[in-house]
Amino acid sequence: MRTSLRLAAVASAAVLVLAACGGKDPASGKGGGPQQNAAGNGAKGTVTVGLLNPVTGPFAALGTDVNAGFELYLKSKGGVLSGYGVKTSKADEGTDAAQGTTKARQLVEQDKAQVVVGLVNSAIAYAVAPYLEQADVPLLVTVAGADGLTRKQNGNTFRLSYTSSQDSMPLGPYACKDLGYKKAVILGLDYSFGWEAAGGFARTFKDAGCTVTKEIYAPLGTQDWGPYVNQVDKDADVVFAVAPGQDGVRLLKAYRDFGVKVPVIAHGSTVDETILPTEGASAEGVVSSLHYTPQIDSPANKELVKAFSDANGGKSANQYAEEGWAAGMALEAALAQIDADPTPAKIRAALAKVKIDAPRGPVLFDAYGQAIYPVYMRKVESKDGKRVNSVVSTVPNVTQFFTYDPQAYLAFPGYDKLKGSWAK
Amino acid sequence: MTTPTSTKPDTRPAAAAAPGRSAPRRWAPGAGVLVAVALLMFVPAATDSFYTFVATRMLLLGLLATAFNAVFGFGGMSSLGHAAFFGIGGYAVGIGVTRWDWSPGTVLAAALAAGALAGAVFGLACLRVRGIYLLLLTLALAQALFGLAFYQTEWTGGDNGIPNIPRDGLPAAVREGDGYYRLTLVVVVLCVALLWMYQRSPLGMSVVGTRESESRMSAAGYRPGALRTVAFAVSGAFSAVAGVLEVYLQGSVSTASMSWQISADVLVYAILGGARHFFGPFLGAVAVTGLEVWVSTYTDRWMTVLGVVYVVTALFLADGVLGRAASLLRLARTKSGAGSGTSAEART
Amino acid sequence: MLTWLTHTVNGLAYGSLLFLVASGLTITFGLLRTVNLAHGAFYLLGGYLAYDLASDGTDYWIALALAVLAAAAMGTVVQRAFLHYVAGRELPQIVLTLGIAYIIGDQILANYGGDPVAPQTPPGLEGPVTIGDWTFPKFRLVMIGVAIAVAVFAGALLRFTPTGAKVRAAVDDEEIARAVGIRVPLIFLLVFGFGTGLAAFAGVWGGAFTSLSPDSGFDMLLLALIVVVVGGLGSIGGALLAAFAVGLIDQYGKVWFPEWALFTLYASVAALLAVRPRGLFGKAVTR
Repeated sequence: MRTSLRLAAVASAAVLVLAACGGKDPASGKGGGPQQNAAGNGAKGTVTVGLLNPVTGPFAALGTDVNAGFELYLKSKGGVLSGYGVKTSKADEGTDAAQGTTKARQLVEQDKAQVVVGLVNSAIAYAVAPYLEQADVPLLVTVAGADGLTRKQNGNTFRLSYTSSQDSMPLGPYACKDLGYKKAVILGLDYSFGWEAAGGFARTFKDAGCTVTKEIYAPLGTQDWGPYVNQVDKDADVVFAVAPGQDGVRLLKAYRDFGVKVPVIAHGSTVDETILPTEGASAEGVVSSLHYTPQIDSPANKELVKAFSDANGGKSANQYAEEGWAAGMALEAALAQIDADPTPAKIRAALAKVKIDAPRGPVLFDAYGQAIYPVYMRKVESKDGKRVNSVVSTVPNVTQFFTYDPQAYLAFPGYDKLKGSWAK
Repeated sequence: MTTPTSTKPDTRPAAAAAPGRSAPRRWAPGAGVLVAVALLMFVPAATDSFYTFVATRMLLLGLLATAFNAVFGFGGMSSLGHAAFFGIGGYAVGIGVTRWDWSPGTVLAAALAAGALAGAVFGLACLRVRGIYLLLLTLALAQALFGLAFYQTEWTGGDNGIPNIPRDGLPAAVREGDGYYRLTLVVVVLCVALLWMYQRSPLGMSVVGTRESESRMSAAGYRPGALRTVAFAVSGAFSAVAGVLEVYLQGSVSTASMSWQISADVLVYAILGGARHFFGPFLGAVAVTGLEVWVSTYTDRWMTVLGVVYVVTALFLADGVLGRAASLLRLARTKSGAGSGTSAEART
Repeated sequence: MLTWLTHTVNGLAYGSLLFLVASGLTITFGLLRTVNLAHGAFYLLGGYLAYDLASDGTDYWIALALAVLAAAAMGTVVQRAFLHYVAGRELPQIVLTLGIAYIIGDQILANYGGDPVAPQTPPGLEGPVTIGDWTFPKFRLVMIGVAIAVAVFAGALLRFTPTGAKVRAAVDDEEIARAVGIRVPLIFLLVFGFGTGLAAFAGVWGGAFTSLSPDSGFDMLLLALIVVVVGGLGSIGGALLAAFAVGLIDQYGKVWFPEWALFTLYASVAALLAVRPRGLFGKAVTR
């Protein structure tokens, strides 16, 4: 009996300590109530938007930024988009399809979301998209990149972010012709996104008349990139790197630590603003292609950059924040076409016709629901003591098929099957 | 069991107490279960479609936890590799249906067979290993399978997995929503009943025997190694069924179904619910799943809450909710009936 | 030729990082029989604290020392307030430490955000060193030396000091140790603090090697578990050799057959355990 009393005392003390730890949560204001905000007063009625992004797990940073981008845009419009008061309901996408679909269902079936915005993890997107189609709720994807998500005409899924290959395809001809690199080594992450991004680059680079001499892939979550950077041929002209997030940090660090001299070009997510401060000097000079950089000189972009930085303690805006922000704009443009009673069919039809001037530039959707937008060639440079991705060149109106005929492109074998064949 | 130094908590198998009970008390739990199952049929009518979905997942995770316990609670072997069996069941659906157009019956048979086979392999690999080493060996085996699933994209689709698995093979009435819930309920009840019977059979009892004393069992002519392998095979087969149910529900399968977190989760289900009781792990699965859904509706910091629950479980509920309840019940009974001397409750 | 030298030395350097993480784990397990799944969380805690302090302008070495001490202090609190009550019972320990790992990881996410951070490379060790035609990162080379030093230091501490003798006595026979006046709970507390301190140190140095994110704790934990198990639970020398072996196998595996890297690593560990349940250098547990 004495033992259990003592146990109880110690443990309740511990719980108090833990509760105190929990109290430090800077994201306060989120906790302590259903994660919904009330709708603003709209003349035409209200629309419920389900925000489904990860706030835990490896993609938490990305999901948080998408949410912030969307909410900031909404706030800048006083919670009203095109006459509709917007009620948002947020849920955690989590780390696996089980949680993702559970939360998608909760948003749709309990919170009565009329459109779902979000999704970062492609495996979860693959599981959630069919459910939303069946439940007749339009989906606006903001990060998940799997090429296969937007391959059906007039579907239920729209995507503002890239297909994994879309942003790397313009880099092929640019590297081959403008930069004059003839022989490239691919150094990428060994999973779907890596194969698709690397494949997109390899295809256009080779079709422009240059060659890929080697492909090196490292498993997701590789702690030490030493073994891989050491396999880069010293006589290659350039290395194409694709490794988003922490893997990108490790790749570049190992690359510089081992003093490899071959220049680096990359898929934009390898040096995006979420990791650029951590990469620091190791990213200097890297040329990459992406549909966004905070350096874009336009009023629309400056508004986002300022709003995001103010709301996040000086943190730089990034592609994820832009995608959330642009989702708000796309929704606004769609709702502008609907006079009353936004049914799923009306929202889908309206989204298909959306044309917006997003921070990244003009955006519209193709017949498959995939965004068409400008892709920027960017270079990491130091500016005012910070490293930024400066725009060096722009390729307008890039579609998921780039310059290829859609039918021919769709008939190509999947990039997972082509991986390893580019260097042959 | 409250003394911190005791290495083995309550080692009395719950099942072994049964013969000493009088007839009405022996039947009461069975009747209770029947009533519970009958009530569960009305869940879709009583709640909305979302809760029905959550209930479906609770059922299949409950089955996973119950199957896991055939090795863990009753076999005395702490496995940290059950995600492998769960994933095998999932890929049986994904690969079988998309490649060869298997019917649900074929999928189920294949999953049972593959799960049993994988279980037997695990069991054989673990013949010489006990305790913490068994935990780590099963983890390594499951991680090796995870590595296979991750890179054999030709078959598994890698990290993106196999999307859009058609459910056409299922009869239209049970393909989704409430119908699928009822189908899951029937399958889970059937599987749990089979596991119950297995646990009460001479075979299941002798597995419990090896947990209690391997040397005595071996002296009595049993072969503990074979018994352990059988326990793993049974557990693997029914864990795979849970995986089948999950993937038919989700319509997709990916490596996430094989991640080691699932193995850790199911271990916690069993401990939290009470591994010495047949229904403990099921209860634990239901409780943790419900808690996750509920808490994550209110806060992004649901992982912290889950962590606190784990800590509290370890400190106060090492025998699980059911174990705690049983000991409280015993305490109450000894107090009220101190004079009458209920010797049947005495520990042996 | 030089390429192979690079691969080999880098394998050893990576192994050294694994050893730094695994050393604390093998000490707490071998000596306390405590399965500490929160070890990866303490690794993170050390790394993030040092990063936080250093980015506020604290001197690197002071930041390192403070982070290690803070993590060690927190480790002793966890041992006294929680683990103490489940001593000797593996399963509650697993659930408990998993819960603590969840809490620490989630709180790090809440406080520092999910973007990766990298504690700086120790001053003076930045950049590569060049010997003839051969180039290798200075920091990684030093890491090998540090790993060996930690192994020797920890080994000597246990073998040759009076405190070490008390620790061994407390581990071998707790009751007799208590009877002859050794304060066993205090000893256990110290050992656990030492183990978590090592984890934190590994976090500061390993973070400079591989960078940190709120999820990388579990990645490191799994790798460290492999090293500890292969080396034999509780054996520091075994862990060092196992870490070097895993580092080299990992390195050459990635060069030769990258697509099977994940499978081969775990499958060979499983095969080893099935045949030699106690790992390479593990003692039979007399319980």
